[in-house]
Amino acid sequence: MKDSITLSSSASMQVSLDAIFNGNAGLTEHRKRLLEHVPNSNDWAALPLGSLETKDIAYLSAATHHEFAILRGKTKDILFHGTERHCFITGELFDLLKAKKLRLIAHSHSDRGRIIPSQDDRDFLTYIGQKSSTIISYITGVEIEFSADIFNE
Amino acid sequence: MLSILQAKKLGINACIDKIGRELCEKYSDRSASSYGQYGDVVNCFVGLSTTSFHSENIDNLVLTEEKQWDYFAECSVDLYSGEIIFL
Repeated sequence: MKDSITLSSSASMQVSLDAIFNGNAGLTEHRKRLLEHVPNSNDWAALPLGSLETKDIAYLSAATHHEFAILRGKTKDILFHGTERHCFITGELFDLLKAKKLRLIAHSHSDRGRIIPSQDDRDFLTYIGQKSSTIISYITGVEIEFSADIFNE
Repeated sequence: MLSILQAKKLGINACIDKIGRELCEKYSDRSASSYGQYGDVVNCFVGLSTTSFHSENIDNLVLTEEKQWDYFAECSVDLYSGEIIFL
């Protein structure tokens, strides 16, 4: 029973993402408000700690066809709006990452099948001294965990 | 039935062996692994890059979907049977 509930949730999320991606459905009010904080590519916003979930960026990505990322510090969540293929982080956010004051919680990909991390994704983790993070597909809703240490079992 | 973490361990190690453990150790500082559940299987990936990452004097970090691994292996691990299939 538990497995069937899990599968239904995954299937329903994919249906929702598909509908939003194809313009046949809209975001919830909560996610519309999130997007209002970061309406354009390369915008970012500080939000209350723990206010962002990985699923949020899948839905935002489905609506905009852009990558999003969630960073998290001790007191704030950061929502970053990327472009179609990148999240390019510079300036104040880069400085906070370099100082290890932010962690990369998750970012979104458009992978339709299996989600594969990129070398840049890997280098990002290495640079900020973080072992692993999550990637979510905004097409399927599937989440993977990727790591910069292949021998860390 | 395997747990997801058990399947991950089997799959990542199978990918490392497929690429070659020695090669993976040589480029361990330029490698990445990933795993995720897709229905009744856990898909695992290991990728190696032979290009160095020069982190000195950079002023930006990028997350991107553009993947150009020099060596990689992917497999699926069946949670019920433990069967490993390379993709």
